[in-house]
Amino acid sequence: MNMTRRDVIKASAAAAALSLAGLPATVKAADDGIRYGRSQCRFCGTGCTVLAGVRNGRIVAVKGDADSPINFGRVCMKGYALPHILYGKDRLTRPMIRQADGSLKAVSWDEALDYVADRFVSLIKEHGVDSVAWYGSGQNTTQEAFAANKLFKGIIGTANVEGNPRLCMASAVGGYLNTFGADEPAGGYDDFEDCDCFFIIGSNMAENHPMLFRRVIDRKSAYKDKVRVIVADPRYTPSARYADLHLKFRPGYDMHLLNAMAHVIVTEGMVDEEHLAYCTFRKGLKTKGDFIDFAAFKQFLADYAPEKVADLVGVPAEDIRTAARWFGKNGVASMSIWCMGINQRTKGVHLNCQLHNLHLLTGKIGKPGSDSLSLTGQPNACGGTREQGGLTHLLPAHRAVANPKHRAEMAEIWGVKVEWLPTKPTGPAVNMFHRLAAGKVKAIWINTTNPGQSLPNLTPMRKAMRNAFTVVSDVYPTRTTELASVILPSAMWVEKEGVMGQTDRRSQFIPKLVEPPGEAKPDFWQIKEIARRIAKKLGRKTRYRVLDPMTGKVKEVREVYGLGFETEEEAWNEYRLATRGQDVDLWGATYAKLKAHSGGVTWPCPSTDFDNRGSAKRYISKSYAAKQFGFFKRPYKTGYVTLYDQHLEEKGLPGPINYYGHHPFHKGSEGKAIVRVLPAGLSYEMPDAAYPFVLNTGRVIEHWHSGTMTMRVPMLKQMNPAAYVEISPEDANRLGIANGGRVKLVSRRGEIVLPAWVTDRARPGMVFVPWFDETKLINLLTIDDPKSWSGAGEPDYKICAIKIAKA
Amino acid sequence: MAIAGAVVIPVNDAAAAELAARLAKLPGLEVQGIGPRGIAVVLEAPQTKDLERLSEEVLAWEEVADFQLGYCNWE
Repeated sequence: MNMTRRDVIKASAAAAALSLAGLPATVKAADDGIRYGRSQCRFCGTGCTVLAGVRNGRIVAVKGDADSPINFGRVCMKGYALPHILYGKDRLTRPMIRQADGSLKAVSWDEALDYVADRFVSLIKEHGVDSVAWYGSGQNTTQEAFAANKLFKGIIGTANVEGNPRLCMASAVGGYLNTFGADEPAGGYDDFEDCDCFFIIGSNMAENHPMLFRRVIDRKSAYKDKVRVIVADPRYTPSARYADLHLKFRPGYDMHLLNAMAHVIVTEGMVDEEHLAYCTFRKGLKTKGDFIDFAAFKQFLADYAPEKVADLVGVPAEDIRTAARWFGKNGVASMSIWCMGINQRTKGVHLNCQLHNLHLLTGKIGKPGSDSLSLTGQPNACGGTREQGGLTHLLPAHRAVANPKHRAEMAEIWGVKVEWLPTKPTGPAVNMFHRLAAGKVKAIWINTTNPGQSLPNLTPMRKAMRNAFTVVSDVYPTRTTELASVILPSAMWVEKEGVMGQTDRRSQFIPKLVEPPGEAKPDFWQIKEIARRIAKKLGRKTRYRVLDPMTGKVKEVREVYGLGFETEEEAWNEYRLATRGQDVDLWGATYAKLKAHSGGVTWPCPSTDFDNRGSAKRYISKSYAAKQFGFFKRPYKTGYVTLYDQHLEEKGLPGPINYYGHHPFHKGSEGKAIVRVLPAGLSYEMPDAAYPFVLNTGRVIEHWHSGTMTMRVPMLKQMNPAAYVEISPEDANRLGIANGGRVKLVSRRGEIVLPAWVTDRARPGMVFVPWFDETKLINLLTIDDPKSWSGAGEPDYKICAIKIAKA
Repeated sequence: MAIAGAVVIPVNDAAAAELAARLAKLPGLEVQGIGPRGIAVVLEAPQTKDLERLSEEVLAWEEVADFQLGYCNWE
């Protein structure tokens, strides 16, 4: 495929137009002799279904899958670039071990695997199980993440299992847990087509989730006068340009904004009294505060009347009232949609809960077009980390490390001894790297992620990785592989098979379509091989049960050193068993079903019936769904989803609405959601006299995360080749900074010089820097202080204090 | 450079083919296909204001019911 940048943009435009016209969106690329396989886009958390074209053993084309209920055949500019990410000239193709002189020596797989296993086991024997750690990713397949979890928690016995989703969506988990007692949203993507008011906050969807934003545009285009789009963002982003109302609030004052919107809702008669029967009100987060009644909650909100907080928020009171009225109006379907601007914040969990509050108060949940939907940033953050349990405190399928019953269940499923499992969490991701710096963690396996570029306050983090025994599995040289003791070359995307899970409880299958280059191997294979070696050296055998995928009956038992499962399908079946009967029930998501249905399966999906693709809505009964929607199933080209909660149905839980989260936070409020009563607070490091600017970091449309893949796509690199700092015309004039001029940014932790982009995107007093550029590490400046983390251990990448000057 | 993808909705389905032919004659506009929900087009112009002008021109035609933008890229 030899397309120019203009060709790709035109192809994106054509795909969007064709889809709008009701035609299959096909790229005008020569496809003679090309065999297409259905896959999922490798980039963001939307999970667009794509058809990857193979010719002569190489991926040569990509197009959107018109059958997909996610993207309807459309693909964004990064999606069209997918074939190129495989073929960068510097792919890692051989295992390498760092030598005493600092050089890297290519070695055989056996030598590399033996070396890693020997070092890990000797450290475990000398310093204990918590001297080793796993740092995975929302880009691992679910099978890889499950395998790593089994190795580290089930066989080694350490809770040092973390992943980069801790840096991006842990606060969202905290929000769902604190409100509903169960993680992940009540609705999903189908709500876009029924929504009348989109409240988008802390998300530049137009650039970062472009195919979902297309669905917002579709809805708005079809019902121009009826549908409202509100964007709340300190920046004037492309999403904000499209909005009917842009709430350009002062950075950090969104807690005030959301309480002010709640105030308008409760004082202007927009509360759904019927739905309040399914809610309680509680002060603070978790179980710390008292339960209160609605009258007390209303009294609490009196301090947040829009006129009282407008100056603080930096938004006219009338605009706040307008937003609340559009959102809360009776009979209107409303969605709130958010991402890192809410999650990557000191008050991230609080903000998530406040968004849920708006839905609980107005009853805009469990109905067509209404949902509080947290977008995820990575293609398998939900599946591999949240659902699978790839964080220190979790076990698979929404189980907890600290819960003895959950440990016993997982020990049985994994075929390991329960006493091997850790009994309490160690610490979240940044804490794990702090322990690496302190020498308590001595060896770490970093897989499919680039913490040498992505962690906050990079200087000590990079030193820690350089000094420890650091194993890195990746596909290209990165700012992390340069710190590694051992580099393992990985297969990527359609060079391996796996399952990935996205934002709206969805799981999709990715087939292997081509061979990886050189000696690169799937991460699943790497984990399996190292697990075999470590288990043998530790003398720990697994009692692995081969399952019938349809009945769950044990067909065969293998007593082996290692994980037990040999193939990705066997691992998936063991994982399905772990989810069986849980709220995240994927027992019905057989390999055959996942392969057959474009867009995959949405949990809860307890049924193995081939047509049953799961539940589009949670927490509501069949009869309630029929009343709200007029029907209780939504058909797709293949199969159907139910509009009621199959878990609720299967467990025989009472309806019509049942917030059944069984989390300890829910003691005293079983079956109900909790409206959290949260006084407004600010981020930990707000600007002051010495550091008067807010630094905000994030992504851009051309690049994804640390740029490891997209910066190797010539067209995308050409479009946006290097980092810059967005600065407002007002600030630029005051500081004498010209467009393109050099600007020095200094925080309490580091400094950097970048070219200026003087633009009205930026709000005065705040600058924005994208983090994709490995030559300009903006995370040298960001903050890692535990006091700056959200209640879910997520660092604040959106607000830290800096000073800037012309360089 | 500004590039957009849009769907032009004819006042009635019978007029679609004729309308598509008329659209195809406009400089900077490519017809991609005629679907059940309208005519898929790609527009290209030096600046977004030129695209706007083009879309307004199309919208003013009697046989056009609506012009819906689905994608826009400008630099």
